[in-house]
Amino acid sequence: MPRDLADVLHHLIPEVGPATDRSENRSARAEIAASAQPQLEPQARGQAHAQPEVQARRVLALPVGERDVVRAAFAWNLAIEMARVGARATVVAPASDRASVLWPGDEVRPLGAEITWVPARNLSELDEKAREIASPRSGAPGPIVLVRVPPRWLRDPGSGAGLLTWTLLLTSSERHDLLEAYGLAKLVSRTAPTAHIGVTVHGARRRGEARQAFSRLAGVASRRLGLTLDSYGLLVDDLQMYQAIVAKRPIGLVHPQSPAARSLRDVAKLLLTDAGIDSDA
Amino acid sequence: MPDSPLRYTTQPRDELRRAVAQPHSFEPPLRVLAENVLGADSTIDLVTVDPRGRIVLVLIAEPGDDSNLLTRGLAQRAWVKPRLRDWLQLGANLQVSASAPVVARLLAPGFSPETRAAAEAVGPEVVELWVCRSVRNGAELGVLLEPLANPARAGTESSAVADFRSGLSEDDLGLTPEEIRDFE
Repeated sequence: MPRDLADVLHHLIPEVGPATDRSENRSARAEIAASAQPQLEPQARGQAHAQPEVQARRVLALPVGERDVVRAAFAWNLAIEMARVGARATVVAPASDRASVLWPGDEVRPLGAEITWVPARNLSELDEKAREIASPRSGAPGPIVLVRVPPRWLRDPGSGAGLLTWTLLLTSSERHDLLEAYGLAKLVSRTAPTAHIGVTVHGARRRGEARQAFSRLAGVASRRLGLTLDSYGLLVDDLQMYQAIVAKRPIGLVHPQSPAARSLRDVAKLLLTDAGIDSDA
Repeated sequence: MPDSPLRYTTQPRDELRRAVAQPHSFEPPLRVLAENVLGADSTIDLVTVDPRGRIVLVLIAEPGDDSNLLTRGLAQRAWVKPRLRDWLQLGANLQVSASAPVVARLLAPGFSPETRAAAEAVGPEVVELWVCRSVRNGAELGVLLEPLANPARAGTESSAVADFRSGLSEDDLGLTPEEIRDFE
């Protein structure tokens, strides 16, 4: 299901009333759609998922660098928010991550969405392990699996392209980060041409900034690569979010009503919807 | 979301320095050689060694003072370099080479475009910019440190330089000059 930022802005902008919200959303959606869908060449249009369909997805790939504690924290908190709204979710990371600063230590348990370390040395092995964890057991559907993909592995995907079928890119609204997200989208689409690539913007200080950031990224991806990027909203990284990261505590448990926690919940719900999972909150 | 910039707590400098000096504040971790060293007309918050053997001078900005911090970082780097050999005579067990490169690592809650541009111009082997967010949990002060992505090209080394937070470079991502210009 294609999404744009306007779908979730109303959850995050307390200063805008509901009536204004809807009209602003329509306007924002139109604005983003206009900039994100410029003149596609016919062959490029064929590559884009013009008729995207909702399908059950269980494995979500998140390219997150070895030192990127903020995005790793978002991934971990997203899994926890998914669990908090009633879904089974887990984070899968290569075993080599275990000693890194990316993830909270074993003492921060249980939270309903644990981190599973898997012995994987490349994308293919990570794909295999993630699928194994996501597979149904005893007739019950498997959990939704958020996989930390070492970005370097994308350069040599081997037979692991399947892992990228559903990929979420986290980017701030800064120019340099947008360029990185574009590059990652390009790399992912080369490896997995039919991948559904979503984007969540974080670090925006104003709603217009986030909207503009997604619009710009989606526009260039569409024009240069024929890619349609799905928006999975925006994450608010406010002070409480950083407090939670430093304390290695989930924001949804420490400050459940903070804008950061609410935005995480909204993004988690969008992801669950696209995974074909009904959330109970 | 409020229509105003987010603000982070400002902490007493000594307390902030102590938090930054904790073993795992930085990734990869730094080995602290000295704290609060009087250098060129001002103090260097931390003199450290990174796993590559580089001398890393950590300087923490006063609030809203990131451009002065850059000047201070360059001055301190210039001050330390010729003194390194003397220091090592006093502390032969420091396991540092007298010819070790010296880099100034500047910490601030944010950096202005001018400071970023200036840092890019001198290059990452001279100055690194790190965003420092200090947060308080009860009585404890924590810091979250993140290197600012360096868009500067490092000449012929570009393919080996990790430009982005993902650890990848523009070459790794297969970005063309036209695509890069689209985001300027």
